[in-house]
Amino acid sequence: MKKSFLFFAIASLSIMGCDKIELPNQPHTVVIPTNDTIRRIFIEDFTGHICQNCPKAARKLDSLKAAYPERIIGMAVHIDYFAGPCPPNPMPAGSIAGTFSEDFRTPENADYESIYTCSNWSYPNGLINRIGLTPVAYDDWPTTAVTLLADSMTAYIKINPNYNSSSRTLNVSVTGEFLCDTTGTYNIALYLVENGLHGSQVDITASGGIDNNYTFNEVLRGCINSPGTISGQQISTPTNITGHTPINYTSPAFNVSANFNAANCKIIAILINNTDRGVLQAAECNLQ
Amino acid sequence: MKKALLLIPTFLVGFISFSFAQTSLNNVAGGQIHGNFEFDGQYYYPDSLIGADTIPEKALMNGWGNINYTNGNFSAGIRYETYLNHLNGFPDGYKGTGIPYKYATYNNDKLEITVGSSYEQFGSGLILRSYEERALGIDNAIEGMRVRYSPYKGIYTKGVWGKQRNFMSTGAGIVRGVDGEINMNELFDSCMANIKTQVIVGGSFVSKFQADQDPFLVLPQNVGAWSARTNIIRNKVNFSGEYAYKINDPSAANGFIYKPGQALFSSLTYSQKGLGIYLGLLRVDNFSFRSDRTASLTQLSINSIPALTKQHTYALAAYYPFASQPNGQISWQAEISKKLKKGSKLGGKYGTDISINYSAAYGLDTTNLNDMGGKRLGYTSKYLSIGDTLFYQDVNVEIFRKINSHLKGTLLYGHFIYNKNVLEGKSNYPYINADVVVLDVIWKLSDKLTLRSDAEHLLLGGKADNKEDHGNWASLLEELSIGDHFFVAAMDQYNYGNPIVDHRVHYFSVQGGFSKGTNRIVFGYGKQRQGIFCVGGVCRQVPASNGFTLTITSSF
Repeated sequence: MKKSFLFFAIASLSIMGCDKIELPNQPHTVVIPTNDTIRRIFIEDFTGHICQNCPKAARKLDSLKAAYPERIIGMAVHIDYFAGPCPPNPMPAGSIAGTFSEDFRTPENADYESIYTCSNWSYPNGLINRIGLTPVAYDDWPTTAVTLLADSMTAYIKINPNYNSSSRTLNVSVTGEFLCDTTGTYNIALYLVENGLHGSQVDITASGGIDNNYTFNEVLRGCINSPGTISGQQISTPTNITGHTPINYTSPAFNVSANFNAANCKIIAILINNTDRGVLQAAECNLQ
Repeated sequence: MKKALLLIPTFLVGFISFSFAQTSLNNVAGGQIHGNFEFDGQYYYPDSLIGADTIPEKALMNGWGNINYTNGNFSAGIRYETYLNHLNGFPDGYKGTGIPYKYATYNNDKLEITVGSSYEQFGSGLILRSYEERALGIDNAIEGMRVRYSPYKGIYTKGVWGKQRNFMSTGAGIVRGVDGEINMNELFDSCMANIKTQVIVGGSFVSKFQADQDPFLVLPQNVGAWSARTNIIRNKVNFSGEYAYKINDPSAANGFIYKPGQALFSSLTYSQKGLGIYLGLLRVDNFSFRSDRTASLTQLSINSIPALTKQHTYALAAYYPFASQPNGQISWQAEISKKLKKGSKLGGKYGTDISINYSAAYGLDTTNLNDMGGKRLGYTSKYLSIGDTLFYQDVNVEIFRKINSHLKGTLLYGHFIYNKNVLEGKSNYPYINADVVVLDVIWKLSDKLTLRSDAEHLLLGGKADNKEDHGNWASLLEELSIGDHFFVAAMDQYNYGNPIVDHRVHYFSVQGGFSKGTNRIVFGYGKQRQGIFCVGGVCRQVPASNGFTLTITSSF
């Protein structure tokens, strides 16, 4: 009798094991384009124009972006001694007077230094999705990025820029949705980056070791919504975030410097988990 | 290379010493210990001509040993497995060493309980079959509990609950299933004892659980499947049939559609002395059932869809094998086996066995619903209609005849139509039409010597269109058995019709073996062609290789 009961118990539990789904697609508070359902990886390339191996890292980033189109977002952070203009830094050996005068450093560098103590790093180096406080050597970027790309997307964000070219005023809103249940607080950080800047670069692979017509791309020009820091601003979320909690954020107005070529500028947005500073999702779009 | 060769005899001596010392283990603590071992090793040489890769380790091995203890109603056992590193072409998940299979079973008063790993099959396996097919690297043993119970004569029930083995660990999902079978003649023996018809009915239910963490789809965390079956036997006729149904089970295998799955498998056999007839029918619609919805290839299948085609054992006849298509197929097979009488005009002095086999597999007749933004049912299929796409066809005739007391032989002819696009996931290949002829002769030269000669030829029809395939083949195997313990064999498979002239390669290999009692050692050298290797309709790709092989098996 007991044995029969055991079997009926197993049978009953098994028969309960069916979930019939009538509406398969998850309801979303925003419209997520079918071609935008992938996790993007944010790579911050810490670099400088007198860093002789830094062009190799830039090329590594380019090759990663080519291998995973639309899935890798890069940002070149010119920082520390290697990014300082010459003079006052000593001119690199073999350089021509007047070169290496560019300075792509930004006020946000101090925040990078306070959080990550970048001055202790060797260059080139990078942060991938801001995981931890130690950088990832550029040779390891592909392995780390590919591993992260395999993770499922936990949030969707979209940048909605509104740039007035006359006043050079930029207003940005970010919309999106959490795609997982979570808790904690989250920030949106918006960065302005510029492509197509030219200058001199020490390059171990270049003839004579220097490239005087080097193209700097994705150069960080500043944080749009928290100038001087890299953390951005906190977004409004409930205590318990569900898989459909919307993301609606509007940044303060930002003045795009006349020194920047707006046609070459892009906006990068990242959604940051304030618990560990990790990046959940990244997005980018042209300024205009 | 020399070091590798020196290692082999050292290992052999150690292994043989161990093997012959095992018999004393059989009686332990009032019970018995039995087991078996196998070692497969290969030393690889790169060969760019045949596509044999450079193997960084140079030598690879698979090894395992079963050790089972039985004492009355109790039995327990383990299987130690080691892959250091696994043979080239074996699934990558098999890495390192471990004891992935272990169990303990107690059987008392018609109740059998197993904890640990177990293999099980419900009915024909349409909704549950956990089994091991070592040659393919398949082992989906269920790790958890299994119960079998017969509460009354003629009633047989069983249940399983656990996680499936996934290479050296277990998969993400949980599998739960029950099966019941009633043998009417046994149950109602008082009134059915004299009835010639035997009736057996059965039913199964299997449910799997896997958490839903998908941000875009509402995935069913519990997916259930049920089946009903019957087996009716009367005199020389045996009919069996099973129908199975599965609720929405979106997975990587079906493109995350929510269409319910169905499968129907039935067979009818007639057998009498000298005559056997088999008819089989299989219809499968969206019936890949895995305990991890992201699994692929042979990984974590809960069920098994049989292949209704003849399983050829001759090398070139098995060159284009059929791989069962769980996403959708309708297939059938018919076979007539006839033994021509001894002394008759056609049968000859010793009689002649003739077998004619026909099988075909087609796709389903489907209509795409384009509803991936809605219910995601994917498509509809007409139940009684056959699709336009032929997957596979095999017509073959096999004749076995004993000529005299020293000579016997088998002649096989087969015509195959092979859809490489469906069966190998290629695109834009034309159908492959292949004709294969095999002549296998066994000649007893003396009391101690037996020579087997196996000559085969594969001719591709329309070969001018099949430039991407490998063209015609000829194969010759000579195998000499010396007494009861030794054999030597040489084989040459010649791809003389390869469209690329440089690839017209002789795949030559030699083997020598020794067996005594339950020990067997086979040493070989040669080239192995790239190909598809299938067992029971489940296939895997085998890469080309070139090198020495050593296989040792033993049991006690």
